[in-house]
Amino acid sequence: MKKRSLSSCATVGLCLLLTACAAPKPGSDYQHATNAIRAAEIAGAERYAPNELSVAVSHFEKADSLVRNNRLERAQKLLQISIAQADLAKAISDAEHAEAALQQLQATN
Amino acid sequence: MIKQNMLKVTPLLLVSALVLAGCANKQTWSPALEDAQKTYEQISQDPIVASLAATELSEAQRQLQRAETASAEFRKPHTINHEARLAKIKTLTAQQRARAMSANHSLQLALGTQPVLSEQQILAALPVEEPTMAAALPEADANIVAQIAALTEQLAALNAQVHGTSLLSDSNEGDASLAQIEANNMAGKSSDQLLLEEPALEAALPAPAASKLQPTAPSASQLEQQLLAINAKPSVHGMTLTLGDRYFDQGTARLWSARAARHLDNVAEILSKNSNLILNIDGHTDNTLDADTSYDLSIDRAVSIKSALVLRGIDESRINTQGFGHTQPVAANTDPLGRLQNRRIELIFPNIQL
Repeated sequence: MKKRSLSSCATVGLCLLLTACAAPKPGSDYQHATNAIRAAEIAGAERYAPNELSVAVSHFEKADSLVRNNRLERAQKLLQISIAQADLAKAISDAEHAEAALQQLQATN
Repeated sequence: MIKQNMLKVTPLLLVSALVLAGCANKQTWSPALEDAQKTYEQISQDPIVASLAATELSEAQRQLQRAETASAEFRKPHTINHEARLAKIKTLTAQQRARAMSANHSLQLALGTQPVLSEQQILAALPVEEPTMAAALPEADANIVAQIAALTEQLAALNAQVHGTSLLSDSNEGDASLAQIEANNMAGKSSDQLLLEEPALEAALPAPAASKLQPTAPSASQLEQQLLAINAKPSVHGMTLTLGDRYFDQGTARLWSARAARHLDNVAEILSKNSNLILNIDGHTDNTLDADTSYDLSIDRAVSIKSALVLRGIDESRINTQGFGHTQPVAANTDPLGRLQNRRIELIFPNIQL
């Protein structure tokens, strides 16, 4: 009896593993997008690149709802766009911030 | 029986063949991909971006290749659009990254602290003036035209004086012309003398104007100026135009013709105008590949450039190609920027003494 239940558990486990392998895994992209948006916000994207940040956030939110509905493939694509937009927002913010600081320094000298 | 089967099968085969033929010619056109290609094309030309955001630009290039592959494999439009959109965003990110690096560097300098960029990076990022032949020539043409116009005016004035003299000698009328004659007489010049002066004036035409009127082969110094105008630099081997590896698909000899078009057009124009000129194309790589692969890649890239010039009407016997692999580096292969400088094609004009 014990042997039989162990065998059932193994079968169920194997099925779950195979299912997990077959479906896209947006997990890492999900985490990556969260980090990228956070980094953009820290760089001042709300001020310097609001449009790019807004696109990144909206794509992330949409992806989040798709993950809940198990539409993983579409979610993964949205997360990729979200990451790229957040990176762009951060790069714009870094550039704007550095240029503003430089101008300020030149104005005071 | 066999005949009946054949009759049934033949239309099917024909339809299949037509479908396959249709597929073979079909190209998946995507406005998003075209947009991404244009954006990459434009931004990658900027030496500041190419130098200061080389990693980001490479990533954008890889992404663009993924989009192009998706298009070539007739993938679904939304897949192609997705890949193209990512490529465009990554290209824009590279541009902004370079902007941030540049501004940070200036900021560090202004603050008197250690600059964030190395000297090598700054040199590579310095804006290179690459005036095209088309841009360089109108200026020269304008000078020549102005000189010709001035000389033509002088000639016209002299002609008027000569005609005025002959007319007045018959009629003795016309105050203005009379005044001219008086002036000429005061200067001690006869109409015959003035006529004699015309050829002398033509002989006194400056060299560029003369060559413009009667096209001849340019002198060595003129050719050197033309080569300098297309950004060729003097070297021990001759005037050399160096093309970076951004004109090629990464790790392959596939030439991105549109990117290199300006350089190829300029070189082809000079070769076609100077029939005595020959061109040596030397390919070089960095040391990331083994010796044999490096050699093959360098020679293949040189041949790609040669093919592009031959397509522009240059006789192939005038172009020599050589591959050196990674045996002739111009910078250290220890850092990415050095390797970027080593991956190059040199277009050498060895005999500019005509």
